[in-house]
Amino acid sequence: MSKTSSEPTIDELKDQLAKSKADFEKVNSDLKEAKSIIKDQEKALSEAVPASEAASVIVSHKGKRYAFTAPSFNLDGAIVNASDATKEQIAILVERKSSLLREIS
Amino acid sequence: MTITEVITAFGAYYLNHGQNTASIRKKLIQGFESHQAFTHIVTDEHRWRASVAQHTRILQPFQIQFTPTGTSEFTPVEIQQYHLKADLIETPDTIEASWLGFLSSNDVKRTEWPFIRYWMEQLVVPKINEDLELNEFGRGIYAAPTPGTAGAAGTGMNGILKVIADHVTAGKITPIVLGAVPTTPADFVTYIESFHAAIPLLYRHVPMNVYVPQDYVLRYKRGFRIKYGTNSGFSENDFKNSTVKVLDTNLTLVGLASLNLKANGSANDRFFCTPKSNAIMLSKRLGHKDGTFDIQAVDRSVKLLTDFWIGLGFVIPQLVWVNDGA
Repeated sequence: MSKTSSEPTIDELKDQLAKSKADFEKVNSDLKEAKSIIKDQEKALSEAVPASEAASVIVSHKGKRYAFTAPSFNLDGAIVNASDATKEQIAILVERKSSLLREIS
Repeated sequence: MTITEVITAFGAYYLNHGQNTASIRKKLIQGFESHQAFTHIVTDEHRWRASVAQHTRILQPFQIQFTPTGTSEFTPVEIQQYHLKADLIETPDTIEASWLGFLSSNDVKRTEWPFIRYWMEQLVVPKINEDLELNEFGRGIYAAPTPGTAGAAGTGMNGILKVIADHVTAGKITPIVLGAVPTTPADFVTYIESFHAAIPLLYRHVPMNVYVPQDYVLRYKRGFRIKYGTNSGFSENDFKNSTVKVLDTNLTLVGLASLNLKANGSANDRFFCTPKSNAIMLSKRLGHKDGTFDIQAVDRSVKLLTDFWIGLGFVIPQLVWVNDGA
């Protein structure tokens, strides 16, 4: 089969392939960078405290974070300020599924 | 008004077969009952104000020198009334040529027709009471209406749950940590017993009602029999009534329809207990007697207008005990 004038030469095709590869690498690099930015933003978002909870006491228990929905609570007759709650008391609240703690991400 | 089905079934004409208002039956309508939990104060004041007084420790060991200790403290209390209304219009002529024609009259003044009295006394007043109980008094959260548009159900006033939630957020009511309300009857009895035990000693033996969603009363009765295997200590009335005394306490569980649901329509799991003198319901022009309705004739239609004020709150929020339901 003979080559017609409209068909690219092998060298031209090689050039196009090289250009495509360069473009692909550039796009791939941009994508990686974008993913990295999104990951950082997601991390920042997960660590951010919603405005409504900004004034709440935030505590952690077994890797989960919780916001107190009240500034104080009555635990078995004793009044406890949320800011003074011990780990044991927080564990009791979590165990009893008290709505005084709202899980936050 | 809609009487399409009556016309379809009985025709667009009036025949006297002896039918009267007793021939019109209705389903049960929820009454406004939650006011019984409150001390009722009728007042023209839109905001009711009082003050709570207390004193810090005074007594001390004797010595010659003057060593003052203790001071008085006064804190303000304010309970707000909300303005609610009913605006209605009907055209009584609609019923004249129908089976319901006995509610019409030869009097050309439509406001005098028997329909108006029936409408007002048998339908409107009971429905206002039901709306108050089921939408406003318990789970209402006030929202200013859009001018010219009827406000949504449950936005006429701050109800019991909203008032309590605001006090909890402000740290004036301290919820008792009991956890999720058990659905198992026997566990629920233990839950209520724990609630009682967490009330401060000074108030633990004061006769008080614990106002709960209505299902909780039955759950307690069933749970008690399961937990203790006996009816001992219960009176016959405890099992028949919609209330039940909590054994070994001065508490009585009282179910309120207004507490069955939260504002969002899901099941409510918060209940409260306080001396009745501490729970205040304010009202102005509430009563729905004939005098509280303005009946207006407009062409051949009749307008019915009424409005009243109502509000609730607690004089000393610290004397309101609630579980940690949300």
